[in-house]
Amino acid sequence: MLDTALIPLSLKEHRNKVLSLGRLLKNFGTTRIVLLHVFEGSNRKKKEKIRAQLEEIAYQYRDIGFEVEMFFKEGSVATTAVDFAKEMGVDYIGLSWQRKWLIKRTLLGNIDADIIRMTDLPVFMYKKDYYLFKHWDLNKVLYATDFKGTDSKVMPYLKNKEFQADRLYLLHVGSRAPDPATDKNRREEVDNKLQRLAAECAGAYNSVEKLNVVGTVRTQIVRKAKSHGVDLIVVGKQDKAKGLDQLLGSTAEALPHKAHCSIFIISGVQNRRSE
Amino acid sequence: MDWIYKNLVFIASLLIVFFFVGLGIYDPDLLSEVSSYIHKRIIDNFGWGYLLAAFFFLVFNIWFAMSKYGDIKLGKEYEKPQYSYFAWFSMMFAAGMGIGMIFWGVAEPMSHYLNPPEYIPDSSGEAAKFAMRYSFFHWGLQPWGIYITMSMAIAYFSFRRGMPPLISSCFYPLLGDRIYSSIGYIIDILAVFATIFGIATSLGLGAMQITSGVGFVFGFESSFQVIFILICVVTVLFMISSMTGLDKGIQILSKTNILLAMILLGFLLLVGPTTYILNIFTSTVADYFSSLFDMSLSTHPFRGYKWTQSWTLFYWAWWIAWSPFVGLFVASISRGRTIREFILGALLVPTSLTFLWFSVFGGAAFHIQLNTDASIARIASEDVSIVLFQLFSHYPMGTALTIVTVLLLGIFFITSADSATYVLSMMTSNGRLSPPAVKKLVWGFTISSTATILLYSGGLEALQKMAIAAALPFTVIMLFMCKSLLKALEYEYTQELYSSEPEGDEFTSNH
Repeated sequence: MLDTALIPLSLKEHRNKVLSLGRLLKNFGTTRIVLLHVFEGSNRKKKEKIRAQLEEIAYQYRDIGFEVEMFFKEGSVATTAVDFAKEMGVDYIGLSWQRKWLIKRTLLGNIDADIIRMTDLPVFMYKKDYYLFKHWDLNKVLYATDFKGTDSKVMPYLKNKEFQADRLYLLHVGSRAPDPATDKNRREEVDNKLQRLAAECAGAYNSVEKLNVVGTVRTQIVRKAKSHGVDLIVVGKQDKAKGLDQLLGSTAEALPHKAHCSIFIISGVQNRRSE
Repeated sequence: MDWIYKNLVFIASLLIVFFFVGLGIYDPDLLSEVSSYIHKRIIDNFGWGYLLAAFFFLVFNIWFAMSKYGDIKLGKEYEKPQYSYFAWFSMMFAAGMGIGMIFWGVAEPMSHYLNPPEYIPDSSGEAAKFAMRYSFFHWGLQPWGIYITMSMAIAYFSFRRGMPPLISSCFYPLLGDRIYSSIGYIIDILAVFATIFGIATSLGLGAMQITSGVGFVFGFESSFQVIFILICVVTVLFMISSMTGLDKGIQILSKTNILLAMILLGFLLLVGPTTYILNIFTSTVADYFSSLFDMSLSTHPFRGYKWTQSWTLFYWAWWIAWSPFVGLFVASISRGRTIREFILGALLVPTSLTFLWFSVFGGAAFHIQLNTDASIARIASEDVSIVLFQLFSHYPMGTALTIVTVLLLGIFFITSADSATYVLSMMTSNGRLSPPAVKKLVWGFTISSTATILLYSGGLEALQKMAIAAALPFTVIMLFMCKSLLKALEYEYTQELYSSEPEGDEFTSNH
């Protein structure tokens, strides 16, 4: 299911961070890695240097136990990475998140965010600070569900036994109903739905905990992930943003900027109303 | 202890009223100083906010009426409107505008004509055009936009969602169960505060205007004793009306009002000069709509700022401060109507009537001002309360017109006080649509005695400024109310997943 990963590298990433990303991908049952570097008008001498750097990373990944392939392409990084992932038939894209400050992000854009927006494949966004990261196991995973189309796409990944984690938090962030009686019904309904999801996932984790909260989706996901010491947030991405999301970006696109931990975005999920 | 807890808003509101009335008796100058300071600070610093907010409410309502939410009913799906269109419009109009429009129908265009902002030459053709346009503006779409925002939210949460008809109920989607804690109480107490001070000053100042106007016509001097007798008579009458409930008292009085107003309006229109009045109506409507955007958002910071502060911003603050009362009252008579019907009805019908009223009375006054030696404008700027009667003296059957007007003023007076008593009792009885009679008595007596005492001590205008000061927090409250309502409707529209009829229907009217 998560057998092959494409990792686009700019080679500006810290080497240890790239390695810790690889180690973490082992938790997903990944065996094959495709490394990609996209040149943006580099000269021949620079290209050779880049090739050498990428070969070094490939060598270290093989040491971890991956089967590794390397590719070099030219063009726009995000578009090339997305097209190449499709062409290679990889299962997902792994990214080492490069933090950019708001002004830089606004002026120059963010390639990682562009990839998330453009691709239909699942994206793993590695955000842990490698120098603080002492163990390579996933301990706590949080799945934020809206009970819409995302569950059918995400649950197969969460139930997959190769996706090794100790504890799963199932989070639903909803809007409060207009009156207390309806809100009570809503909460009960959400609890029931979370319970059903928990029962489905029960076999793959030591414990599954349900979180039913009210508020702004992106804020609550980040807050709950932080307060429960989560290592990985799993979210589904809707294909068609609606309303303000068209301007501000979807929750999945916004989360990498805000979350303290890594994020796994399962994309290619149709908006329920557009289905 | 349980009684105190259940009547917290009632007790706290009464204590606040006693405190301010006490201050008004003990040291009216201090009350005046404090209220003037607060009022001036607010108008100076947040006037632009009132303009923006009032325009936002208008746009919000128009958008709402046109949106997919327009078909949602302010009540259960099977419910039909409780009142006929005529009764609904009559009551709405009596509560929303009523007495003020009788006085200002002539006085406001004349005042603007004589004292326009400094960039317009006074008593000129341009000043006349400006006077009519701004009279329409101050009494037109924006005030009703403010009222509708408040009443639509209350009606939705009360009649469709089964919550008590309180302003705090409108915040459930944002605050959840915290509406039953201090923040909810503060919102409701603030609403009571604005309503009681607004109605007490309206009663006191209105009584002064009526006695001075009637005294001028019938040749007697207005004095405190005369005003006191008038307030006593009005109090007895509105208490009787209040005890009979919405279905009888207010409804009958409001319908009588509208009929009398139509008679006056029709008479003046027919006696004319009809063509002149209709010309003014048509051209001012065109002028109003073509400059609505400009008037709505311009504070005239370079020239005419003082004029905007003393007229437009004062009005906007007053309508907002008045909105909890009108909002609750209009909500309580709008059960069973769809959001679209409610918005379009409440926005277009009273506004059209207001435009016609100002065109007829303002137009008649302009005709006399510009074609005779009489200076209606000068009288308006000197004494607002007599200008209407002065106008009647130029018409045939002037005495009959004066008597009808006095009757109209009296009934408007009673309906305003009656509906305010009802709303205050409802707000302080946890939103019961049939509040206990004892609370109606308490609030009726409190309104009248506050008006009388402060009229005597001279603290009434200070109290009016305190009521207007409440407009600032209410502007913020209303903006959040819009967000809350939108959130609730969005939920209702999109979350078929949890669709269920709200439990409990304990707030069904027993009238």
